[in-house]
Amino acid sequence: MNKTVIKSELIHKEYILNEHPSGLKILLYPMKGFSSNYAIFGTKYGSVDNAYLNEKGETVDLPEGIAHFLEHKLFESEDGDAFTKYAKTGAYSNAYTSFDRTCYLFSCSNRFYDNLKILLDFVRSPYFTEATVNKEQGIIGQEIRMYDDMPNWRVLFNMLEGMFHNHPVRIDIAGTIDSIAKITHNTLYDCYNRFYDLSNMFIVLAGDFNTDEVLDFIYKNLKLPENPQGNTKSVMPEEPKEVKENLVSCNLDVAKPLFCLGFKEDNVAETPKEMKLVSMEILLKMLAGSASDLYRELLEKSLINEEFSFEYFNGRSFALPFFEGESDNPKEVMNLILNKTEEYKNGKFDEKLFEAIRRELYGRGICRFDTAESVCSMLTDATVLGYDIFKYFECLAKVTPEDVKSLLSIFEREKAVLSIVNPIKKGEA
Amino acid sequence: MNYINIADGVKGLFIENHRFSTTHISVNLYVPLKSERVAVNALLPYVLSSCCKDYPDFSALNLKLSELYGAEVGGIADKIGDTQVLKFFSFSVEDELIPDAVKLTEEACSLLFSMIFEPSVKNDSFLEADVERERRLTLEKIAGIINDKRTYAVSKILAEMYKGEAFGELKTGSYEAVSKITGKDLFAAWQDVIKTAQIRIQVVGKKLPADLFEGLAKKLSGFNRKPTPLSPSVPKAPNKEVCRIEENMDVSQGKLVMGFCTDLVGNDKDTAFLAVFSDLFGGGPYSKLFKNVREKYSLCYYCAARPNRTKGYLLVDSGVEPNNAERAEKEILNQLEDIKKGDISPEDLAASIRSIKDSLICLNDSQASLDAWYSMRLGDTPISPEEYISSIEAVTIEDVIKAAKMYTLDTVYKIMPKKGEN
Repeated sequence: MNKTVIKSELIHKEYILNEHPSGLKILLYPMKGFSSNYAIFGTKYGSVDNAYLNEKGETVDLPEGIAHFLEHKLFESEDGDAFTKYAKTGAYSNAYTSFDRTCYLFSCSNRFYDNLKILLDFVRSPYFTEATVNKEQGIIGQEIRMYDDMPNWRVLFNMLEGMFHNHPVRIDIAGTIDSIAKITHNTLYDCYNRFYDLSNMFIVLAGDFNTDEVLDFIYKNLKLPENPQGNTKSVMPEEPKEVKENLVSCNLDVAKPLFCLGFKEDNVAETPKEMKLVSMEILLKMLAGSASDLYRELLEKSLINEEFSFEYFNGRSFALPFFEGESDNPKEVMNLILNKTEEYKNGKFDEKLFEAIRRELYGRGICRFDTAESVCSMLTDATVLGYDIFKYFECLAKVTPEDVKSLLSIFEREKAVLSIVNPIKKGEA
Repeated sequence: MNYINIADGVKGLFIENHRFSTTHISVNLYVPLKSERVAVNALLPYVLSSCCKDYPDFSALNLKLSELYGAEVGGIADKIGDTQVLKFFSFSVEDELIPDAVKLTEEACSLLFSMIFEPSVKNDSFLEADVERERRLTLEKIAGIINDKRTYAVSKILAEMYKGEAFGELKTGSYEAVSKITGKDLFAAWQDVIKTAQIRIQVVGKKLPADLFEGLAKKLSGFNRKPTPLSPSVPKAPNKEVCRIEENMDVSQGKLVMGFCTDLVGNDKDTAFLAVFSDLFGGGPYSKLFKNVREKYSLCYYCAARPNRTKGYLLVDSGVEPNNAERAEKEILNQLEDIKKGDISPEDLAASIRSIKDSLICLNDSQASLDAWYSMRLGDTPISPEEYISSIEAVTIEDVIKAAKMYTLDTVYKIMPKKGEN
C-alpha cells in the first residue's frame, strides 16, 4: 500500500495521500485528541459536467440538474436510505452538489468505522427505479421553487447568466422543473457509470484515527466495479471572451435592491492555481475589505451595508471575482469599484495594506486546521482543483505586489456584469 | 469546572482546550430584557466594536486587526429568555504559531477591553458619525429580514406570540426604536449597562492569559457598580383560541410556521426531555415530521421543530407547496397526536439520543460553539455538554409522551403566494 506523507516545513502540518489501484485518491489528516471525525466521499462531477463525448465521438447533452438529482437518489439504496442507516450510529450526515463536485459526508464522535462502512457502501450502490425517480421529481421541484424565492441565489445566477453565453456554470445546480422532468432511471445509471468511476473520486478523512488502520479498512470494504468503464471526460462548450449582457435585472419581494457584480476573466475555463488564488484574495481584500478606503467610502456614502461581501468565485474550469450586497444605487457602487482599480493601475498601491492582508490570510489560514470539517473542506478543494494546500501557504509567504497588480487587468467596465434584484413596487404583481 | 468570582456580579470561566490555534475570549454583559431598552442596548456592541479611543477610525482598527494576523474583535446582542446579553469577543492566533515576535493575544485582549471600556466619545455622547453609521446598518438589517422568507416568518410568529412582552421585540429592537437612538442615549445606556450588568468573562484556549481577570476587575473598579440581579424567564399562557395569520407575497413556495407553548421553562436538566421530544418530533431524519410529512407524504420541502428552553415555546417551521399547506398543518398535528399516544419506537428514541449526544460531544471541537454553550446559560454553576448528556440519556418513552402532552398550539403563521398565482 503506497503512503505518501505530504509535509509543510513552513506551517508544520502534514497529511497522508494514498492512491488506490482503481485511481481513487485517499487523503487522511490525523487530529490527535479531537472528538469528531469528518469524512467526505466525493466525485469530481457537478453541474458544470453537463455534456460528454460518447464512444462514437458524438456530444451528448445531459438534462440540467442531473448531478444534483443523482446525489439525492444515491442516498437511497435498495435496503433503505442512508439517513436511516446513520440514525443507528448517531452520526450527522449530508450530501451536496456544487458546480464542480458531488460530496457525501458524515461527522461523528463515535462508531467511526460503522459510519465509514455506511458511506463506502451506499456511494458504491446505485439503485434507481422509475417509481423512486418520479417521486424525487416532486421533492426537487419543491427545492427549485424554494431557491426561486431566494433573492441571494437569484442575484448570483442572473449575474452568471449575464456573463456566460455557453459555459455551464450559468446553469442552476438543481436544474429547472422542465429539465428534471427529462431525467429517467436509465440516464441516472449512465451518469453514475461515467462520472462515479473510482478514478474520478476521492475520500477525505480528518479526525483522531490510526491512518494504517483506516487505509486497511477502506481497502477491505470498498466495492469495486466488475467492469470499470473508466472515467468519461465531460466537454465544455466554446465560450466567447465577451460577456453576454452587462446588466441583468429582475424584481422580487425584497426591502432594498440586491446586486452582484462579476468580472469575466479571459481564460474563463481555466482552473486557478495557488499563486493566482492567493494574489486574487489579497487584491479583493485590498480593494474592498474592511480596512480599505473604498469600503469606508461606500459605507460613508450609505451605498452598502453589512450584506456587502466579495469572493474569488472559482472551481474546476471556471473563475471570476465578484462583489455583492444591498444598495439603493448599485451602479454607483460599480463605478466606485472601477475607479479604485483604475487608481491601483495608475500606481497608487498601498504596500502597508498589502502586507497587513498577507498576514491576515496567513493567520486565518492556520485556523482552518482547527476543525476536522474545515480541514476536509480544504483538502477537497485542493483535490478537485488539482492544487496543494501547503503550496498556498508558500505562495502567501512569497507573493509580491507585482503578482497582485498583474490581476488588475480583469477589472474592466466591458468585462463587468451587474445583476440587480429590485424590490417589487406596491401595486405591481 | 466552576466560575471564579472576580468581583461583585463578575465571574470568570476558563474552558481549557488544547485543540485550537487561537485563544477565544468573550465578555458577556447580562441585563434584564426591557422593551424600552432593547434597541439602545442592542446597538451598543455594534458601535463599541467599530472603533475605540485608540482607534477612533474603523478603517484604522481593521488595519490593525489584519496586522495582528487576522485577529478579530466584535460585539453582538442577543436574548436569552427575559434577559438581554451583550457579547464582546476577541480571538487571535497563538503567538508561537506566527513567524514574528508579536504578542497577539495580549494585543487582542487590550483591544477588547479598550473597545468595551474606552469608547470614542465626546461630551457624554458617542460621536454622531459612528451612531449614524451603525444605526443605518441596523435599520437595513431589520428591513432586510423580509429577503429570507424563512427567517421572516419565524420573526413574525414570535412577535405575535409574545406581543406586548419585551421578548416579542427583535434582538435589535424595533425599526422605530432604533431610528430614534442618539449619541447621548447610547452614552447613557453604555454607562448604565457597565454599572448594572451581571458580567461573565470566558476564555476558550490552551492557557488563561496572565492577569486577564484581574485586568477586567481593574477596568470595572472605576464604574461604581451596582449589579442588578436577573429574574427567571416567564413562560406565556397559551392563546385560548389559536391565533391565525396569513400574509400574501410574491413567492412560489409557501411558508407555514406553527408556534406551540408550554409553561415549563428551566435549566438543562429539567428540560432535557423536551429536547429529546422535539428532536423525535422534528429534528433528525428519524423524526416524525421528516419521515412522514416530508418523505412519506411529500408535503413540505423542509419541516423542522425547534424548542426554546428559556421561554418554553416550540416552533415547527416548514416550506410547503401552497396547495398542500392545509394538509401539511393537519399532518403535523397528527404526528404530534401519534407521539402523545405513544407511537414511538425504541429504535427512534435511541437514534435521537445518539444524535443529540454526538452533536454535544462535537461542540468541544469548536471554540465559538463552546463559548456560546456556556454564555447562553445563566445558572449559578456551569454545566458542560458532557454533563448534559447524562440528562439526555436518562429520557424514556414515557418522558417523551409527557413532553408532547405539555405543548399547546398557540399561533399559526403562513406566507402564501398572492391570489391568481400558482
